[in-house]
Amino acid sequence: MMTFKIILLIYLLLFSSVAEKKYFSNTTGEVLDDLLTGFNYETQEAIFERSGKIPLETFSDSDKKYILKWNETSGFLSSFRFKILLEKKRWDRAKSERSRTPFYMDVFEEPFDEHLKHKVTLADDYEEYNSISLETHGFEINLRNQNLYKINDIIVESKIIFEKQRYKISDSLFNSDKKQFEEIESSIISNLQRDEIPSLMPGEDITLYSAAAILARQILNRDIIIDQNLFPTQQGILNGFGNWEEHNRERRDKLIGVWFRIGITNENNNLIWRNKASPESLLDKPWDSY
Amino acid sequence: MWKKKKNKIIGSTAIIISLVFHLLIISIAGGIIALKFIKKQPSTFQIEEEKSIERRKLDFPVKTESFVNKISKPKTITSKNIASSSPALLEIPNQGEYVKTAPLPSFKGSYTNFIKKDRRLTFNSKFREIDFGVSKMDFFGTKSSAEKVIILMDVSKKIVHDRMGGLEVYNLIYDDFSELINEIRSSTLVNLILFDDEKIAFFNDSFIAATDNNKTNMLNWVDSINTQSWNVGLKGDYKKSFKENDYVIPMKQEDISSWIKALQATLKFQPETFFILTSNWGNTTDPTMSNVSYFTKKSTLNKYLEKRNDYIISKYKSEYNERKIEFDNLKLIYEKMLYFENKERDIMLYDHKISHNWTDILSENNAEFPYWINVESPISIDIFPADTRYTYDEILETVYTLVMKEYRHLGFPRINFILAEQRRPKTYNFSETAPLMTSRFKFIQLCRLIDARLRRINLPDPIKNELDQNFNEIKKNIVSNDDV
Repeated sequence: MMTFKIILLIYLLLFSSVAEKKYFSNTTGEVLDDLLTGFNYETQEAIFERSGKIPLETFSDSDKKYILKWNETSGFLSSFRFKILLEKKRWDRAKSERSRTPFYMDVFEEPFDEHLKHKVTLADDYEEYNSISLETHGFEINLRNQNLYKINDIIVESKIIFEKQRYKISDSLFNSDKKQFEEIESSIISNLQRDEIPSLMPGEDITLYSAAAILARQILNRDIIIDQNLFPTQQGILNGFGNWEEHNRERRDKLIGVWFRIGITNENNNLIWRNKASPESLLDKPWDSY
Repeated sequence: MWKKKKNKIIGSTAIIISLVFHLLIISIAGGIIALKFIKKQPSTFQIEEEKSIERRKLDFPVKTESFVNKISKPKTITSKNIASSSPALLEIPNQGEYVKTAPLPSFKGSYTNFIKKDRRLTFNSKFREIDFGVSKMDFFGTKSSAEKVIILMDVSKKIVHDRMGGLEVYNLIYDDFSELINEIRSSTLVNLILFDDEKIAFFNDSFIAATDNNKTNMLNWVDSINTQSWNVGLKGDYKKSFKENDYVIPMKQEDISSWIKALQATLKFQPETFFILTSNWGNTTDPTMSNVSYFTKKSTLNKYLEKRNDYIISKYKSEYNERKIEFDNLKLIYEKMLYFENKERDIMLYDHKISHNWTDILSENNAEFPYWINVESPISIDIFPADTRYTYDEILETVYTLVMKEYRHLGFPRINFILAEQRRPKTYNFSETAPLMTSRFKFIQLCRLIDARLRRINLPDPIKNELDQNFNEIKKNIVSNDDV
């Protein structure tokens, strides 16, 4: 993680040093060769490395714009003056569970039928328990502009990343004694959310939300409920049903985290980002890898 | 002496002055009285003019302005400070817009006015920040209060066939719907979506205000649905191009149909309340099995049915051919019976028969109905019947994911289900057929999961046939006609 951060920092420094403007012109066309180091918003004075403080009004229109945008960018990049707070939330949860007698239901069609017909065979010797828990997780990000000036055209992108699991085979009774019955396959899902804030006023804060990660936990338990030595089982009726006991399966989705990136266009018309992730280790990989 | 004289003079002068003064007062007073008498007119009869009674006009000391105008005023200040996502279809206020737009900073003595949000406009509802458009609604006993509401209505043949009570069912629906619509305030936003299996029709592309004009149009639209027995359901899909699902859900997009498809198509509007009127849970319902209902995996189901049929033909070829002929003959009898029945209904000026399945009229006239070829379970093909349908949990996960993807931090909206379910035939026992597989059970479970409401429509009695037809006579009739 550290390595990535160092590389990112070096890249930014290199990038910024390459793009740094050196020549400024005033309203009469005179050129100043100096490095802009600061801007006092209250007195409207640009601060240069060698020349010191120069009033903004003395510069040409394009350089005025450049200096103001430079100042806006530095205000945006300041973690003290532009605060970003990230919070994890569980927005909703629901659970459904039930027990029932498992059954085999065949489906068929008779000639000219508009609707399918069914034949049901109950597996009375067994009991089935199903439950599904569904939760909606998300993250809220609060942006607070504590600069004395507004920050314009903010783009907020977020990716909420989670692991989704699914069973390899269906819950058919005839799959119950198969080895694959309990097997699951996983995939990593990333849901993108993009918002645009035209302007954030001085002192204003705004809360934005990531996309939702819907996590499921599903359990299926099938048990035999009678003693097969004492009572005949359904095996004769359902050919190949199997003598299984306690055939259970469970799948559970997991939340991995969120990566928010907040960006504005800087004085050189490049999009620059501030990143916030939970956990921070997500920043070890590039944005596009999720 | 001089002193005495002097005193006399002074005393007499004072008396004279006093007398003059008193005389002056008396003469003035006398003059005033005399003037009054001189001016006084002799009394005469006067007829007073009769005053007409007029309505009092209310005078407003303050210049008034429409409440709606007041509400919409802050709009212009706003939008710059709002995080805007995708643009809305129409200029309909989005959730949260009023709080964001209202310029009501409350100074709390902190660093800036804006840090503490003003909550004066925030009301109890999670979806609503100002309640001028909230209407109380009641649709078949499911009650809600909302300012944005969407009504999804099943218009398929499944809801109006004869065993459900025929087209009378839709009159019943129309009556309750018109009551619902009439209760809605003009400032409430509303939309109506019809669905028929995979087809969907929108009354409007987005919300519309429930003005008298819109209400009338909406009622006229509903009134024109399912009025003729030969013209039931939606004829075309009026909304083909809605966004494909980009979330990972257990159901494939091609398998999403009926109420879930209609719900999916309208979630982006984020109404507070949905009313969903449907006849069944899934796209496949078997009334002969206590209304067992589920959603099918269409491509797998077609493969399974094809393979099952091939298996039957290969294994029971002679029996298959024999039964096939029997069914062909039955089809002829069915057509004849239906023809006679409808002819009789024409005379009585009744609607034609609407059947759920072609075998309805045969079984209603006590026809001998052969069983289709029975095979062992499961047959030796690589697909199980369970592979052809979605489990109940998969549907729950799909619905939950679709909804929460749109609503996120707002939480689950209020959903009211109205189930128009065919009466179960008495001969079939719920617990012995397919436990926890019926439409009713599934909706009950879903409502518990998402805290929704469920009501059932008391359907009219099934429509009885006008003719009692004799299966054998019709059969003979067909045979003799063939001979001729």
